[in-house]
Amino acid sequence: MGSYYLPSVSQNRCWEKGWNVEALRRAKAERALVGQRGRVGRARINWVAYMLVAPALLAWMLFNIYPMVRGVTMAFQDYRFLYPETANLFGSFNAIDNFVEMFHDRMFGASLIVSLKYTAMYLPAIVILPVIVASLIAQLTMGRLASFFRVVVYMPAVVPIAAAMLVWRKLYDPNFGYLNVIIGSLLGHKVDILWLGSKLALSSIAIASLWKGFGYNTLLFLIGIYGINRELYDAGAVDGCTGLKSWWYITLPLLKPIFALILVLNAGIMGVTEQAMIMTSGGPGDATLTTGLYLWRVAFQFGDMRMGYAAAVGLSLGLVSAILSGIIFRVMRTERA
Amino acid sequence: MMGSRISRRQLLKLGALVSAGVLAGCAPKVVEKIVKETVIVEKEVAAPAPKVPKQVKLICMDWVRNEIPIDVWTTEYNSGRTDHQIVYERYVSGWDKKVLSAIRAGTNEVSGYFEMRAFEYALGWSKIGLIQPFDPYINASSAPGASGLIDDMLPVIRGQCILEGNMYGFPIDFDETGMAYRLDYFDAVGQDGLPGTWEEIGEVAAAIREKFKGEQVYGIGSSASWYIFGGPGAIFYNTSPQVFDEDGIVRYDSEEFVRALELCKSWADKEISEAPFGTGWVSSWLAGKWGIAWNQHPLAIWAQNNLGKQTVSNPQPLPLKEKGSGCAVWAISWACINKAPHPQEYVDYLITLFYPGNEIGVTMNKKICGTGKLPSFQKAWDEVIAKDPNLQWMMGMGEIAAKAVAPPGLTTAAIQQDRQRAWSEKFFAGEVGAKEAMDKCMEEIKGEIAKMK
Repeated sequence: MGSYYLPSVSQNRCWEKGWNVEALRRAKAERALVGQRGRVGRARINWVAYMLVAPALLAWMLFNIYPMVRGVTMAFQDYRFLYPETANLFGSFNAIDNFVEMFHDRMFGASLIVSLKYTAMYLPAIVILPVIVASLIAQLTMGRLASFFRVVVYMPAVVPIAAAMLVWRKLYDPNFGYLNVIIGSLLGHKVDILWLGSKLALSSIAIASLWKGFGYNTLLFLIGIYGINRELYDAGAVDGCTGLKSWWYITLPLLKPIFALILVLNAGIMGVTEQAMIMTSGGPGDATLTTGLYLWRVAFQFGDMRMGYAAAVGLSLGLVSAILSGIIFRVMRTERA
Repeated sequence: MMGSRISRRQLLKLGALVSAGVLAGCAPKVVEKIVKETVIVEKEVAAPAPKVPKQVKLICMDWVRNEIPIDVWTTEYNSGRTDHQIVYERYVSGWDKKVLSAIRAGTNEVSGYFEMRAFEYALGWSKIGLIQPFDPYINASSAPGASGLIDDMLPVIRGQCILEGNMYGFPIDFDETGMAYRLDYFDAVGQDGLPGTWEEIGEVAAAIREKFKGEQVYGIGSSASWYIFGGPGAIFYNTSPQVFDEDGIVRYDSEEFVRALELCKSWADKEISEAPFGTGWVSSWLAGKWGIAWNQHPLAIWAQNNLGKQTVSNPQPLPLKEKGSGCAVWAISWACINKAPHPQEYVDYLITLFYPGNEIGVTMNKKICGTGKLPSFQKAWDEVIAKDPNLQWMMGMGEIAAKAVAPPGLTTAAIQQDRQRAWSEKFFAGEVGAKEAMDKCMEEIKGEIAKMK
C-alpha cells in the first residue's frame, strides 16, 4: 500500500471504475497543502507545535547531544581535570595519542579481557534463561497464577542497582553471608566458599547482574509470545508439531525480533561498571576490573584525573557496542513486511 | 471552526489572557504593605534588624561524629555566638571533586574537611588548589593557646602536618600500627608474655589455631593490604630499616617486603590465618574469631568493647625485637579548604575545641582518648593521659611515637595503595610469585607516576 491512507475510497471500487489510485492520493495530498487563502505551495508552518516541542528538544540537546559531542572531542585532547588549562580543546589537542596509548596500555588490555569474559558469561544467559522462563509462564492457563509469576519475575528489575549489588555483596560474605550459611546447613558443615575470591568473583557478579536483569527480558519475551497467533499452533498440531517441537519450530523463530531487541539492548554490556564497582571495586587482584571501571578510575581517581584518555577508552567501547549492534541487526534481520 | 465553537488559537489566546490576569493578581501588593509596616516599626521602636550569622560549613566523615561527640560540643560552641555558626555538612564520596569545582567556579562554601592523613594527601591537594595552609590564620587567631600550638605538637605529628614549611594539617589524634592479643587464648595455649618477633607470633598463632580449630578460630589476621598501616605492609615497616625510596614510594620490590608477603601467605596456606588473608577483617576480629590481630592500634579497644577488657589486651606495639623502622604513625587531621569563605572563624573553632590549651579542649581530648585514639599535642599527654590511671597503657604507644620518624609528604599515595592491593591479592591467590608481583607492582606505579604532569 502507498503511504497515504484513504478511508473514504475503497481500493476495490477504484479498480472497478478504472481510477488511478495513486493519482487520486496525490491530488488529495496537494489539496491538503492549499491554505485558506487559496495559495498552493509550501505547507503552513505550525509555530505552536514547534514552540511546544522546543523545551524538550533543548533539554535533549543539552543533556544528550552536547555530552556526546564533548566526549568525542575530549577523546582527542589531553584533558586533565586537575589542570584547568587543559580543558581547552585547541590548547591540549593531541590527535590520536590517547588511542595509541590505549593500545599499549597493559591495564586497558587486561580490563578488556575481563569485560569480554563477563560478556561471554552474561549475554547467553540473559537471552536463554528469560526465553525459557517466559515460555513456561506462557503455558500457565490460570490467569492469576501467570500474573503472580510475571510480578515475581519482574520484581528484581525495580530494585535500584546499587542497593541490589550491596545486598548481593552481603550474601556473598564468606563468614556471615546467607549463601554459605544455607549451603553449610544443607551439607551439615561450615563452608568457606569465597564467592568474591579471585576465581569466582566475575561469575558471582554475573549471577547478581543476571538476577537483576532477567525479569525485564522475560517480560519482553512474554509480550512476544502473547503476540503469536494461536492459529499457527493449531495448524502445526495438525501436522504433528506439538509440545517441544512447536516451541522450537514455531515460537522461537517468531521471537526473532525480540531476540534482536534484547541483544541490541545488551550490546553495551562490555562497559559494565556499577556492579564491579560496588561489589569488588575491581578486585581481588584486578580480577573484576572491567573496562568501564578502569576508565572511571582513570577519570576520577588516579593521578591527574585524565578525562581525555578516559574519554578515548569510552569512545572505543561505544564503537565496539555500535559495531556489535550492527552485526546483530544484520544477522537477525527479518523479511520486511 | 464553525458556529460558536472556539478554535485552538482562540483557546490559546484565552489561556494566555487568564494566566496574565492570575499573575497580575498575584503581584506583590505585599511589598507595599511590608514597607509600610517597617516604617511604622522604625518610628516606634527603632530596633536594628537582626544580623544573619555567617555559616562556617565543614565536611566531616560520619565515623568521627559517631565516635567523638563533636556535634554536642559544637552546639555548645555555637550557643551565644551571633557572628558565626559552625555547621556540619554531610560527607559524600567524591566531595573533593565537588569542592574543587566550586573553588574554580568561585562558589565554594566549605571552609574545612576532616579527616585527612596529611602526609598522604596534603601536598597533592595543595598542588591542585584544594587546600591552603593554616599558618596565617593560626598566627592571627585570638583563641586561647593559638600561639604555642605548633610547638606543642608531637615531633612525628609536626613532621607530617607541616610540609614544605606550611602547616597543612590541624591534627586531632593519631594512630599507630599495633598488636592486639586474645589473653584467654594465650592462657589456653600456655603462652606467657608477648612474642618478640614475627616468627614467634606465628608459632603462638599456630598453637591457637590447633587448639580452637573446632570453633572456627584462626590464630592471626589483619587487613589483606592496607599500605603501610596493616597487613604485610606493617610487617615490612617493622622489619625494614628503610621504608620509602628517594621518590617517596614504598620499597615494594625490596627483600623485606617480599619476605613479609611470603610470611603472610605461609600463614594462610597453613590455615593459621583466614584465606585470602583478612577478608572482612574487622568483623572476624570483633566476633572473636582471631587469636592475634595487627592493624591500627584502636582495634584492641574495639574488641575490648565487644568481648571484655579481661579478654583482650590493651593495644601493644609491633614486635620489639625486630630491627626495622618500628611502626607507621599517622596523624588524622583537619584541612583548610582553599578560598574558604570563613577560614579565620574555622581555625578559631578548631583551636578552641581541639587544642587542649583551654577547658573545652582538655575535655574534648579526654573524649578522644576515651575512644582509644592518641592525642597529637603534648599538653594532652600531660593534662589528660598522665593524670588518668585508665589511660596509662598509652604511655608505651607514646614512647614509640616519640622515636618515630614522620613519613615523607606524598602525591602518589592512591596509586601506590591501589597497585599494592591488586598485586598482593594476585600473589595471595597463587597467580604469581611474591618477587614477580612486587616487581610488576613497582613497574605499574612508576608507569602511572610517569603519566602525571
